[in-house]
Amino acid sequence: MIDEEMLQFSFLGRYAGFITRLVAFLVDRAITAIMTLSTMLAVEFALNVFRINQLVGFDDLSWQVATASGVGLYLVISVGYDLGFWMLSGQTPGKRLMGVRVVRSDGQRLHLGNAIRRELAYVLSGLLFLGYLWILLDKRRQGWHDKLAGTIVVYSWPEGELRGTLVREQVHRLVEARPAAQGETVDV
Amino acid sequence: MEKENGPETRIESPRAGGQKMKDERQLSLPANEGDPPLDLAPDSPQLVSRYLVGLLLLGSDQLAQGLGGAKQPEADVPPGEETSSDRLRHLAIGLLARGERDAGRSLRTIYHGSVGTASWTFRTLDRWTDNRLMRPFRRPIEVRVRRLGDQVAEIVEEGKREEQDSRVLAAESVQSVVENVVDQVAESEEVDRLIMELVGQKGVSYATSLVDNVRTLTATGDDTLEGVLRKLLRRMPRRALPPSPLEGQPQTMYASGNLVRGVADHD
Repeated sequence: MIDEEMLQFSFLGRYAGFITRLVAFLVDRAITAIMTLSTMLAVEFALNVFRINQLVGFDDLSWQVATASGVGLYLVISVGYDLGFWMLSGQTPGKRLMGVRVVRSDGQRLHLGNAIRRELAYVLSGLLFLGYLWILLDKRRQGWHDKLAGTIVVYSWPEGELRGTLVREQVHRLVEARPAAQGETVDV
Repeated sequence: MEKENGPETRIESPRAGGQKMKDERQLSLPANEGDPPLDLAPDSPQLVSRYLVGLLLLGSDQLAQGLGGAKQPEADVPPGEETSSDRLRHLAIGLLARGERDAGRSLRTIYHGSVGTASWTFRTLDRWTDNRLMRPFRRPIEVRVRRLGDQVAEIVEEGKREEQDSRVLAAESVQSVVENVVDQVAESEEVDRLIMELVGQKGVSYATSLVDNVRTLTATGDDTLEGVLRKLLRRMPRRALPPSPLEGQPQTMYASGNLVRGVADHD
């Protein structure tokens, strides 16, 4: 049984750190890249099949225009993906995989304004990655984009009960490291 | 090419003696008047080469489309006219078709000529040697010829039997191999266990455990990395993070009821 006391030693609700958030970020960017590539291939296929590219003169497009279109599409998909998932559940698929969630600083769900500010502030944080690296030093593990948008990122697991060998061992270790005076019983 | 705009006609595959094919194969293809009927009978000698040429043309068209888009017309040829490359291609295909047809005709002529010559020779010899004087010389030759004919007939019969036996053997072998594989998969506990692990509850729990382990590793890595960085920057090690507003709390802010309430608040 996992009681309330033990949940205090779990990761649930604690500020999420740099590595976890980096992995989640990379997973999300990989997903959006795949979505962009698939969309481009599907559009190109459709244009070729129905010969629309010949009709509207897309055959003459230079590689610069094609690359710019790809980057533009990637940005549109990324922004839609981030805003949509943040507003719906506070978790993009990458964040869900890594068990973290974006919420407002007061612990409530994001508003559209927070989400848009956070998305725009990604650009600022991306300068030399300083805004992302700030997560390592900040006491609440906030990047620049979090501070500007008024958001925090917390671990969202375990939500029901702890699962997995390493998690159980971690909880065991943490509970046993506590002062024995509290006299808790552990049954993990 | 030229047939694209022609009237649609029904073409029946011709058969020797004017008989229709057993499967009554009919094709509805556009054709010009006066064109010879398209011979698509399975025993047509030109069927294979027609297939090959057709496949080659379709493949080259697709390749040209994929590589360079639409075909560029030649500058000095008005649209709709045959270009020199078209003419060259038609010449090559025509030569192939005519060469194959002529070769077949020559072979048939040689075969029929040989058979006719042989039968005339045998008939003539038969007439000349069918008398009392030549009969003693003729009899051993007749015996040998009859024996040779019997042997040929035997070989043909054996070929027929072998063909049937080979088909039966191959079919039985394939059936036997398939049954063996199916039996082994069904009876093998190891395979059964592997399948259960892959698609059953065990597989799911392994995946869950894997995700949990990755999360634990990255979460503990978060603390470790921060500790190392603080050491490098000669900062005081962090004893504990400040409590977050959600620490230890169930995260229900995105539950459907709260979502509706939140949207209403925001509006």
